Amino acid sequence: MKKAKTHSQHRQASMSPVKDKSELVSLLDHCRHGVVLLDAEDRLAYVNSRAVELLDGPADKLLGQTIRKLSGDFSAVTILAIDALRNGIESPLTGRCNLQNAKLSVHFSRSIDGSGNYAGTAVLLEDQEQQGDSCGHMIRAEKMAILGELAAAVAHEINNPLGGIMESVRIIRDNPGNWEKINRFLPLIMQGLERIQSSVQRVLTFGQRAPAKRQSVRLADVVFQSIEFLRPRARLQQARINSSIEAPDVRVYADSHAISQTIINLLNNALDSLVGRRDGQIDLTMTLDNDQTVVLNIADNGCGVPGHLREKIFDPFFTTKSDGKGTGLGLSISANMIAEHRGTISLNPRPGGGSIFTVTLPRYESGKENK
Amino acid sequence: MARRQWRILIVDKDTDYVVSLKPFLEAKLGRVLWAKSERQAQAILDKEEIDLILLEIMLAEPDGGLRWCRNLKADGRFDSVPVFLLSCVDERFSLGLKNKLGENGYCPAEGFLDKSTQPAEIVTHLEKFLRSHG
Repeated sequence: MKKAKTHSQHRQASMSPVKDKSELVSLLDHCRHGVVLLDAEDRLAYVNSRAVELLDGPADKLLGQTIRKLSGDFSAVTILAIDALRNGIESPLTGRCNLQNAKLSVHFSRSIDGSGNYAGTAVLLEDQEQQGDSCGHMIRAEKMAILGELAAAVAHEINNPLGGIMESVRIIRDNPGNWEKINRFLPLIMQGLERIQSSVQRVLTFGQRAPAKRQSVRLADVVFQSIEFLRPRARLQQARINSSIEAPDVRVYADSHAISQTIINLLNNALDSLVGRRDGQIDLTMTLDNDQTVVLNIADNGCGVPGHLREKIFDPFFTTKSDGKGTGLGLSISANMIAEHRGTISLNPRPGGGSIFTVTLPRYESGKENK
Repeated sequence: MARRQWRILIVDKDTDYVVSLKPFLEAKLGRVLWAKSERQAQAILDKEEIDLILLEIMLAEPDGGLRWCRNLKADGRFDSVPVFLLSCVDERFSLGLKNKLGENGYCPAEGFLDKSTQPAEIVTHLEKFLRSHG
């Protein structure tokens, strides 16, 4: 079924370039701020509805009048502003005045003709109380956004390992007395719980910006653990995870939980893109570039990310997943964590279809603490 | 040694303000002449030698003082007479003109003082300026 258009889609659809003056005038008339246009001889060439109210209209009496003929604060501040704009002061210029018991911010912008000569001034009268009110709304909206972001981030960090834990518990439950399975999956449950504990700890110390616990770690170990963690999910959806580690002993100076979370997140995304396929495959490679940088490639043969969305994919709240399946925060959080480790994360299309995520991290060499 | 006596010209139509400031200027700086319009000010300048002009921006026209100041500075006979704008426009309209005087030759005055400044402070400021400028 075709979805109904959203409000913003309606707006976008009806937004086309203004074709004639009457359309523009109608738009300006509905503006909640006062708009006054003055010509090069300081005559009022246009006043919108709000400006007529403020200047105690009617419009036909105001239009054509020179600003010097008007009395009061508005005339005085405008004359001073025009004098300044004509005599070299940078446009725009902002002042304030009172009109009809309203406290107004007044913005003046110079307009110039094709030869660069002064052609007039546009004046915007903005109600300071309304302005304050809208500022308040914006602050409240921003607070809500931060709160939402925090809540979503916490949910995301806890949900990720939770999936692996539940899958491991299910395997143990379905294989009673199978000590081989128990010995394999119990440590994975423990690792998942530790990751949740570490996420909760991070939230608790959020305000203090506690530094991540970094130490020299063998990246290959973190990669293996992360793959093992997601192996049950991959098996469930019949996807294969291949890995090729060219530099197994290379170390990075890192918070292993943060790196592991990033790898798990990338693998989870890759698995998401493979849902419903029987030939799904993820190839993870770890190589050393220039002997200095560790390069981790995670390639999948999934649905890929269209070119125009690739730049946005690391933005907070951006998601290509259908409603409720993604918070749009996973890659944004991963990108931040990798950046904190002086690394990079990027996305490229995989030849033949799918995506390749590339993570680079500086190699750690003992004696050189590249924090 | 006798104190130096300067001649100060105030150009302002605001009687109350001038009456309150004048005694402070006379006590410390010397003789004070007063014009209520650009025309009266010009007439005084043509007759008297003036050491410093205190000029309100808003005269008969809101920008009258600024325009007269520009004309004065473009006139070879008077361009060396220092002009201090003494006005409430920045306090009233918050246009920030005080800090823009020299910007792209906007207004060639030597200084800008807010009218809310204490008279004693105005006198101290002007005395310092006059001493350093002979």
